[in-house]
Amino acid sequence: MTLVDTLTLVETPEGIALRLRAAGMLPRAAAWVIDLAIRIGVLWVCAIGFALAGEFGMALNLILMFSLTWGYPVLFEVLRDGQTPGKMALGLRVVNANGTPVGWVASIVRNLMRTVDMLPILYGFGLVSGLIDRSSRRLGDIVAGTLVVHVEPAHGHSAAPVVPAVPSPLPLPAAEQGAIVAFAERSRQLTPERQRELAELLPQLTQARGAVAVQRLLGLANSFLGRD
Amino acid sequence: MRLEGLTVALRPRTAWEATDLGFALVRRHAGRIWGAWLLVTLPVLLLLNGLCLLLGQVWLAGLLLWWLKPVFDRVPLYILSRAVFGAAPGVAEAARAQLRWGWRSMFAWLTWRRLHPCRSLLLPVDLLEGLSGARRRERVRVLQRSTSGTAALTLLLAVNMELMLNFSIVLLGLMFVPVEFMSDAAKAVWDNLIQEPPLWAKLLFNLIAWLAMSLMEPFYVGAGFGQYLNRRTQLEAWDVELAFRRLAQRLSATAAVLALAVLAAFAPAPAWAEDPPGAEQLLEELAKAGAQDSSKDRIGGMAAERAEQDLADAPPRSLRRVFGGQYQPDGEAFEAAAKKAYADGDLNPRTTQVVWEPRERDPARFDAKPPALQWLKPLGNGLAFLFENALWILLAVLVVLLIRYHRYWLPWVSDRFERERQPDPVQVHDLDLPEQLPDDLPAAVRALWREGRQRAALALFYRAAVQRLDEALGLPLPPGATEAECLRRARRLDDGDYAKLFTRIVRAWQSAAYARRLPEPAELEALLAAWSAPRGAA
Repeated sequence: MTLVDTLTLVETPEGIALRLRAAGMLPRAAAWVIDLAIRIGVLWVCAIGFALAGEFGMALNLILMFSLTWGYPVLFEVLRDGQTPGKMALGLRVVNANGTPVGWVASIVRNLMRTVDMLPILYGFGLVSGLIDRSSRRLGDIVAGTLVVHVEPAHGHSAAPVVPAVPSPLPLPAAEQGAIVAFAERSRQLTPERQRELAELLPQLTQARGAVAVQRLLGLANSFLGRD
Repeated sequence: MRLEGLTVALRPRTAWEATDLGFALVRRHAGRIWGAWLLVTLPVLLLLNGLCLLLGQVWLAGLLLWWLKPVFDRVPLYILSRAVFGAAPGVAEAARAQLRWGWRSMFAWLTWRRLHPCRSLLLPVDLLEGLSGARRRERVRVLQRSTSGTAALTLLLAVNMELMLNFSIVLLGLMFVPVEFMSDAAKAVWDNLIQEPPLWAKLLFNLIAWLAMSLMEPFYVGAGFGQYLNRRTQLEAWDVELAFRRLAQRLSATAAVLALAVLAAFAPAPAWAEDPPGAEQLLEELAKAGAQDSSKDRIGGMAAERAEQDLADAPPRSLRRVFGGQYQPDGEAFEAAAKKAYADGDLNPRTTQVVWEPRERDPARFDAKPPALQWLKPLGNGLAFLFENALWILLAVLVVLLIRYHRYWLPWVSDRFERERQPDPVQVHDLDLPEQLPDDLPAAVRALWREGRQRAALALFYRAAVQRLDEALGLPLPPGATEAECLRRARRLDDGDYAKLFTRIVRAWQSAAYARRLPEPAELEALLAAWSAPRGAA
């Protein structure tokens, strides 16, 4: 059984597997709420101004409402690299299913399909579709061949602590060097006990126990990072 | 806890991505989760509605069902927490477990913690870790430090999604009403179901609320569990532990052999690089070994032994050549260790191939030819002769064609044979301008113009203008200065009138020279007149 993950793999013609981090319904709904709030705010402010212009103002208000409903997502998605303000706040982006930037046709289709996703009321169909689909696509995404992905990097760790570098006793492949560097970068978030516990998993590399092992591992990480 | 058994891909994730992971987990184990969910919640739904029907307060059943959510949350959590470690329980097992599993903290969750904004994040602390008192407080504080905001928003969104689903299910029925009857139907629904709902409508609403809850609640619990997993992965570096365990396993399997192999491989490396015959020799030996002894699985072994010998001999010889008298042979221990390293199965893989062979080999059986077909032999020989010669002729034709058309394919194969392309011939207009500028420039220009050599006339005019510019500025232009450079220099002139005139002359020259657009005769006259006019300051 494969590991459970949220990645959507896209293979390019060059044989490179791109990892798209498909975004689920919760962050997407949060982005939608932000976009809705912005649109209502704009409409509300303008409606106060239009109210002074009588019936003509009411017509303007309707035109504004129409263009905000349909133009806002399309224009932002195409011109701002797949990000409406709400999506930008949540670190999301609309891309084509193959990872390329979304174009006019795809964006217009996925946003026009909101009429279907909104059925029967309040995005009922879209929500159910997004809950069922592996990549959390609503019906509009499926029809337009688009995907909403996370673009915000998932860091949150600090730089590795600087200690005198210790040369590695054995040559290690890049992935294993990466694990040791990750240990160093995240060591500040770990309790000292946990640090020792992890460092003692690698007696072959540290040839020590306890706090010395932690220091050796940090030194190894520093040498992998190219520090002196 | 055995992290090796995890069925979740661990990597650093943002809190929102962690909710996506929870959703993915719920999707993966959907059958179990909703099966057990139905087994647990459906009886409660029926029981509560029945009881409240007796009391005459049907709305109370819906409220109680909502209030009991933390109790139902245990179902998906029980399944997910075990499925994560690859031991997903069956539907019946999960449903049975709800009778005794995780009741200890339920009192708190049903009373003062019922409206806690981070319910799905903290339920795992109580149900899976079973902490209480000060240790629980400390744990909760650490867990919530960076995720409580997302957890609370998750609850808010999940509540709203459930409401949306409620409305959607109610309105799904109206979708099937034809448009003509829409207003009547909507009015009927409003009057009958919303204003003064009959008993069946109240029960229906309870059922719809339960449906919406059933759809959404496992996802909400999953999202919280995903955040919990992600937070613990952050705090305890689970992904690092997994990587370390794999690394340690690999190292301990190959540690001794690897260390020696590294020593053996790195020490004589420069000598090998300088001594390629060693490698060639090795290849030859391998080939010989293969040719001489074809008895099945001995090949690999023979070659390996020869390679070993070769390796054992080669380094000292070349090392001696490099280091001369300073070379000291390695100790016995090193030799032994190196031998041991080369004897390692990873360096000299041997494989055994099993092949079926007939026990009794009867050569006659294979060599015998059916006598009936003997008469075919001359025919076959004739055909073979024909085709062989036909092929030779074909080859000859091909060679002739290749030579005949080498002009076409040769440049295509190699651009070395391509002749350098001659540049297009340049059309040279002999302007045969005088070395010295004539004293009466306007007359000379007009003369050239009348002769029909307008470009020559303008060139002369331009040259004179540049010369006057040089004189005015007192420093010569660099050779090969372009028109634009002359114009830039003209800007430095104190004499503004001449600077303007110079610009006009240059423009006239440029349009004639580069665009073949000759000025009108009147325009030229105006320029010449300005040229001859007495200069203001000078």
